[in-house]
Amino acid sequence: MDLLMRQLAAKLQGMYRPAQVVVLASIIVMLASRTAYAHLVTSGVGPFYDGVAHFFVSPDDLLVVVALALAGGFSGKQVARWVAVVLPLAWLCGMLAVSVLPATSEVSPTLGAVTMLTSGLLLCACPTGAGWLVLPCVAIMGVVHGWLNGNAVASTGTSLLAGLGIVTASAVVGLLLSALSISLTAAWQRIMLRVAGSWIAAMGLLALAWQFRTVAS
Amino acid sequence: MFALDHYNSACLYLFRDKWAGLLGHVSGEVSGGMQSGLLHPVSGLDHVLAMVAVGLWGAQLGAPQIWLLPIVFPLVMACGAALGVMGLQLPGVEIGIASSAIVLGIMVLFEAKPPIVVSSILVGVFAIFHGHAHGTELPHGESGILFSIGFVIGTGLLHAAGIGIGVIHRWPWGEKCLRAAGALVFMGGCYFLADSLGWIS
Repeated sequence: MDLLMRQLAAKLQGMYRPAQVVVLASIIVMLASRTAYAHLVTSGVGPFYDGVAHFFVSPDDLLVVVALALAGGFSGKQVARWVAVVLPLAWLCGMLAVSVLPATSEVSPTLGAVTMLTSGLLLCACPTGAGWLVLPCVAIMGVVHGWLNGNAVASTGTSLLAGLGIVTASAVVGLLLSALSISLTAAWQRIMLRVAGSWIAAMGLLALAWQFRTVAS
Repeated sequence: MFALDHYNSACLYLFRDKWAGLLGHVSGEVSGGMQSGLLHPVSGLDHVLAMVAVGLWGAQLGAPQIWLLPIVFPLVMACGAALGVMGLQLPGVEIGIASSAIVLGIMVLFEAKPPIVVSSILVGVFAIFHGHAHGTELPHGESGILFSIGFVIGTGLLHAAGIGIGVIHRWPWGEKCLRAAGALVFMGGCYFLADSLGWIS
């Protein structure tokens, strides 16, 4: 596991510039778009890949995993290893819990905003080596997002393979970003992680307030 | 969340041309949320002046404020925006925004270097006014999550622009240029203050 994390970290360092290009290109494409589609019915490549694609185009899921994985790597290799295991497992448990817990389509955006705010604050403010704080947060938020995803999968009658695709995508992103976070050792890079956390928290806070405005109106 | 929340799948605009024939339930201009959020912070010159001034001041102050201020401002600004979004009123918002440009302009002009706590509180207080103004102006019908992402990124990029300009602080001529920029921000703030008080018809 240690060797795998180190190899991933080394590869990610090499991929740093291409990754920047991909992010910039994505933002440009986003800004150039005009029409959106509310429901992912099918991508034409099967339910598993529908789930994978859904994860990457769901900002609330994606940003939470980004923040948690970076926070895990920020807390050290040991915590990062645990995050890579706990996050997908918790996500899966949350999905499986759908059969027990009641449906929540009404509050899912609010919960998503709350987890985004919390995970951002965690990345922004958690002390170095705070595995005792990061891992429970990862477990709780993994369960919450898994539950929300699983709830929606069940309510729309989508194949469970789509849920498995979401879990797989979260696991891969969590692993890669944990490794990336470990490789960022320079002071300014560590501070950039904190800045990223504060931005994610700010997005979550604003999204949360947005939900209350919707309720009020 | 799968397929239920409009914003979740709104990012499918990335593949809209490829998947257009395969997707149902068109939800309108949801993708405009991010674009709208990204452009909102640059919609008013008073906001732009203050946010760039924060970056300039951070560059003058150096580490750790150069990193601390861009953390404080978007986070507190989101708090102010949250108040505005929820309809909570804050008195003297326009005056507060104009005052922020004046005070930050003075700070940059005189290259003031107060303690970290003071600079953070100062920036944080002004951020509330800016956030509240943006929060009350948020357009209805946009995707909340995408708008929020765009809004925070847009604000952060303005700080980054200020910090980027502030790099010239390492040269003697650059210091003078930054001070001149502070004077411009100050004058702009005075204009906006006079405007908000109704002295300019």
